[in-house]
Amino acid sequence: MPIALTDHLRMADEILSTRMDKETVILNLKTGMYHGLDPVGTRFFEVLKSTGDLGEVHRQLLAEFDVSPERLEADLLALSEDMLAKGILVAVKPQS
Amino acid sequence: MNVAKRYQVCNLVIQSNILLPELAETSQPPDYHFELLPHGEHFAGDHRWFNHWIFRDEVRLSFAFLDAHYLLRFPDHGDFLVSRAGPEIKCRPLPGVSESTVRHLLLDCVIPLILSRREPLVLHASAILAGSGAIAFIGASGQGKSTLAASHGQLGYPLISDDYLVLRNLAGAWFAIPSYPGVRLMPKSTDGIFDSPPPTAEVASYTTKRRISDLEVLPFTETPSKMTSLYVLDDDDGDAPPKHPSIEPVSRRETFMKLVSSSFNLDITDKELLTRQFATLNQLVAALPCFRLRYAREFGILPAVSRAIAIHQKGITADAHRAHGSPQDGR
Repeated sequence: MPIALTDHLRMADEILSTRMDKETVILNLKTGMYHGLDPVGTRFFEVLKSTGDLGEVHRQLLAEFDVSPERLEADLLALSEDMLAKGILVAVKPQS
Repeated sequence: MNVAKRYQVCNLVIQSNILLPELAETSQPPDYHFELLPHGEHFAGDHRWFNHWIFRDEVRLSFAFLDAHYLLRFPDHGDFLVSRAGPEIKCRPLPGVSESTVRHLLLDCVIPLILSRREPLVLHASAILAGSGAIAFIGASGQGKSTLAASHGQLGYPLISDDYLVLRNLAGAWFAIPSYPGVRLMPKSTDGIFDSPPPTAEVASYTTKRRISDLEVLPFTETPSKMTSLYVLDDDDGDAPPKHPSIEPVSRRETFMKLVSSSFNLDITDKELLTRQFATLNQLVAALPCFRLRYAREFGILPAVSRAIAIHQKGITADAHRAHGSPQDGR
């Protein structure tokens, strides 16, 4: 499912994560699979966990990294889709 | 031959209906009963497959639930049934599979998998006792862990384990627990390390590797040893190895992931076990430094690799003393 910066995401249930210096290791207890995040991925994960709002993540990371808005959006959406596919993140349905 | 001898490896006591000469005998009550069944076909039944070990595009081992058992299927060799609550291990080898092959699969694969449910961590690793403590070599199969361990042993460093390493946290420090005396080497490695051919025994009928377990040839320690460091032997970057051995630190995340890929785990669906293992790895990575060891895979360079590790270990020990203060500090 294609996602956009207007979407909201949250960490799935049964996910363990640990910060290692500027990087992160994630364990999905449902699949038994481990995943690693580099420093940029770690920052994305932290901001997303605190806000759940992809648009807000985009705003915050744009202020922190020397990157164009378009490039950051493409990278965030690709990472989000990858983490959704791996069951690390789940989409939050907008409240009606 | 039908026997009923008891053997111990780490803290596991196994009563077996075949001789397991690689292990130490014991009179302790058994945790598991191993029974070698007559040759036959794979176990039939309602398998629920949940994991596969794939090496070089081939499935080497598949895991399934079968009734109240774990089914461990070695596609070319046979099936092991391990009762989930204990205490049974049964093996039905495929027609023509030798008893040495069964022993090898039991000792070097099934037992570490069973230990993974009883011990904090079981790694696919070789370990030796260096001057400052125990060091472990981790890496994928074929990266030279056993060769490097045997090379150190030939220089007089006691070996702790060849293929799998049990780690326990005792009073806040990580200890390497010896498995059993024996190193499995390809003939070319044996020829490259030893001046004269040592006594060897068949490992399994499907491999040319031979087991060296003569304590006169390679010293083994029987006591737990405090761990000081981990060395990764993988060459992930694809570059040619350096002319001289190089040792570089590995990030904590990479160390964590290397340890994950090196860990035995009988049941990756067991969330309690996974959670415990996650916490254990977190503690271990925080406590033990990990380094990437790169060197050309030439037998002639192995003594230089051992020297480089010895010098490196002295540096680590000195750094640790500076960090914590030597016993004379403050007098």
